[in-house]
This record gives sequence, C-alpha cells and structure tokens, in this order.
Amino acid sequence: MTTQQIHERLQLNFQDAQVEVTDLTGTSDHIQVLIRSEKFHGKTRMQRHRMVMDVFSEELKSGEIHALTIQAETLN
Amino acid sequence: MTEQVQKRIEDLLSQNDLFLFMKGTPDFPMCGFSARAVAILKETGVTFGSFNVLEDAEIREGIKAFGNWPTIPQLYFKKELIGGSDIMMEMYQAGELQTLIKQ
Repeated sequence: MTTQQIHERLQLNFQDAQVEVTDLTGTSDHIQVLIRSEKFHGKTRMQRHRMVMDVFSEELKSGEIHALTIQAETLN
Repeated sequence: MTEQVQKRIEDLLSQNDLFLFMKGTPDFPMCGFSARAVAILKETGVTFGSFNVLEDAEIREGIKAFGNWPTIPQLYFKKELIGGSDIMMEMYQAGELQTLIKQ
C-alpha cells in the first residue's frame, strides 16, 4: 500500500486531519503515521491507536501493512 | 479463536502481572518493535513474562483476537492489554508506564 493511498484513506476517515505518512523501510509495509484530528479529543492512547488501526484492519490482517507506527494527537 | 486457545492465553497471562507477547525472546528479539518493547521493560527494571509467538501460530493469531489488536508485540498488565510498542514508548516517556506497572 503506497503512502499516497494511506494518506488518502486517512483523510477520508478523518476529514479535519493533518496527516503525515512515512514509509519507514521503502518496502511499503512499515509505515509511520502522524495524524492530528479533533476526533482524538478526550480519547485514550489505546482508543486513538485503535481508531487509526481500524482504518487499515484488512491490510494489517493480510500483512500488506506489516507494521504501523502511530502518533495520534488532537489539532491544537 | 477457540476456547482452548483463549484458555491457553489466560494461563500464560496468569504467570506474571506483566506479560509481553513478542516475536523472539527478551534475549533474542526477532523484530524491531519487539526489541523496542523489551528494551523499555528492561529499563523499568520490573520482571515480566514473555511468549515467543513465532513458535506458536495458534497463539500468534489468537492473541490478536484476544486483545482485539492486529499486531505484535502486545503488552498486558493484570490481563489487560496496555498496547503495542508505540503506546509503551509514549507511556514510558510520560512516566505513566512506570507508575502503572509498580501498582
């Protein structure tokens, strides 16, 4: 999955989000996501990570995305 | 996930309050994220149990369903999922992991 596709899907799911996607290893399966959205307001770290991982549940299950490093913060 | 696998996981989790499902072993981690998780736990100095999911496909898949978390490593404290290596790092840097596991 390309960083572009990941970026688009995140933007779709988090309309207000500022998103940065980095391919950590150049193999399109070790991805780092930095995302800021008001949807994370009042959510625990666990909930925030789950919200992002849920967007890629199929790819994580299939292994298309092997590792997803997430930093999820609110906008302000 | 079968009941039998769930039972196996619960037995493992009762071995130690702090329990890490990982790829490889604490002395020989086989994946960068598992290595990072072990390093964090070693920094805290607290003893922990661990299980090498590479040696057991049933547990490797079962734990993902058990924790409703799609990746490995997974850290559990008192049978509750704390998170993967990202959350462990964030909590460690904020000092939250240390206070939590010393309860």
